[in-house]
Amino acid sequence: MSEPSGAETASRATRGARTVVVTGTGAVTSLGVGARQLTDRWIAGESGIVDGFSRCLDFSPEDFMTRKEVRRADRFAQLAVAATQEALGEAGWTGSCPYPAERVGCIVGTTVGGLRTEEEQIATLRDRGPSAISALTIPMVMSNSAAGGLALRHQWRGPSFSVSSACASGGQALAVALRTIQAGDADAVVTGASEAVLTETGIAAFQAMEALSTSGQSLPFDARRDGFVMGEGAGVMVLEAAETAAARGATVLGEVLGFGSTGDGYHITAPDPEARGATAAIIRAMEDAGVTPAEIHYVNAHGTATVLNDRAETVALNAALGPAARDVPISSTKSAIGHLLGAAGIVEAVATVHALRKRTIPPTVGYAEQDEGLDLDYVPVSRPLDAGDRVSSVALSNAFGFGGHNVVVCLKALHA
Amino acid sequence: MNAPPQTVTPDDIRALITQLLVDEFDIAAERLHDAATMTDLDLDSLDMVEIGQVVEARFGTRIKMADAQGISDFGGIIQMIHRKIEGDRTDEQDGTEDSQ
Repeated sequence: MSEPSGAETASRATRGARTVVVTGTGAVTSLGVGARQLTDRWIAGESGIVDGFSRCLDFSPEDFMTRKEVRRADRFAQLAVAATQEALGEAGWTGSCPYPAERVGCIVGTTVGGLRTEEEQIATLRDRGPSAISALTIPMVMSNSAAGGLALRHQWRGPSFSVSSACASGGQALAVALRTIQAGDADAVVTGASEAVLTETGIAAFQAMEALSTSGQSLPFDARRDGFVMGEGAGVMVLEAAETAAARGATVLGEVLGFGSTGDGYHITAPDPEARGATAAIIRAMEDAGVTPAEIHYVNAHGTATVLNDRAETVALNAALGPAARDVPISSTKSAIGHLLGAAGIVEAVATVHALRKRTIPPTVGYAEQDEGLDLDYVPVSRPLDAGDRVSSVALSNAFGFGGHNVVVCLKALHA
Repeated sequence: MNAPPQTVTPDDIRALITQLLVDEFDIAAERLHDAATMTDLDLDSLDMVEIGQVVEARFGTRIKMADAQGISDFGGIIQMIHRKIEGDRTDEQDGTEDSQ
């Protein structure tokens, strides 16, 4: 059987797949507790990075959970609870769930899971012996604890699990949630990703890889970039089948049009300099969504600010979009909030939807010095989106992860 | 030679568990009466393991998840723990080992 051509894999809509809409969003980042705070402050060119790290300093788990619930959840799961509460509120899911419980899924990604708990318990083991290890250790450390905890908290009984593809996990969760609804396995999926590994081990491990910025600045695509800034946070989207969302009179924020998911097969951490996997993911995302490069109005780049990623990503965008790459604005949310690792893809997708809804192209904050060969429009300052008479805009949201995982999601945002 | 085991009263146990449930589980002290059910107090099997760990750290007696089976209220928890501690103490005085 031959490889499907672009024409054969064109728009899922033409093949009868369900349209999947976004009805709620939530985010907790260093720019505040809330998706709109994140978007507005990013558009304004603000940064949440302090002393080389991007911490959720405004977040108090007690604002969202009882003390007992806080004790039972690692920080990454706590962040997911807060982002979910916001997303459900926006979707109008407050009070009773608008769907039968078995028709609601919960898919939440992470790179590591409960690293903070793991560190604490290893210290307990060393200091006080095995009998002192908390009975809550496994349910707090396990990477599916956010998904399982949310499904338990809200009594959703559809497909519920975690996905993990390192820094592509957030995009991966969104992609899997889209397919879950398209396949009819659920009518709605609460999906997202969360990460909280700003711990002694987490920081030291990334430092040992020489992946982190030594200057403490996050400068994606800029000639001065010197690595990424570690961040923590969570993002969540409520996805619903368009017909069931319409039936309940939901307000639609946008659509998830399609995605591309590929592997590099090149190196466990370094991106392929020829960016073959990333290029293929971008092309597949457009094919799955049924859009052409000329129909892409904005690209939310992975844009980590490592020397290798930003160069490879530029190669991929040029290869996948062709001449259109020169015309499409490309920016990185990581310029404002650093790299949220597993949560990055979904948090950035959330911010992308809100920025485009405001008819705004958000910036690569701090971008000033062009690097040789990095020749695209990286948007140093936010600017109005020239939307003409359009009622919506289309974006690609890139997420690439250690392990060679590439996930590109194609989103449509309805202008507010 | 170890010191002879101290007598532990139900009130000692009640004080310890009450402190745990109030301080860490956010349960109001006035809700902790003997007839309060596990459901009333929102206590599940993992909570019982935590209670058991606190008991072991303080009194040296191991409480297993199976020990809590069939217990339906706060008073029952105290009684079960007291029985287990007394059993250990008697075993130690008899010079026998707990065969668990």
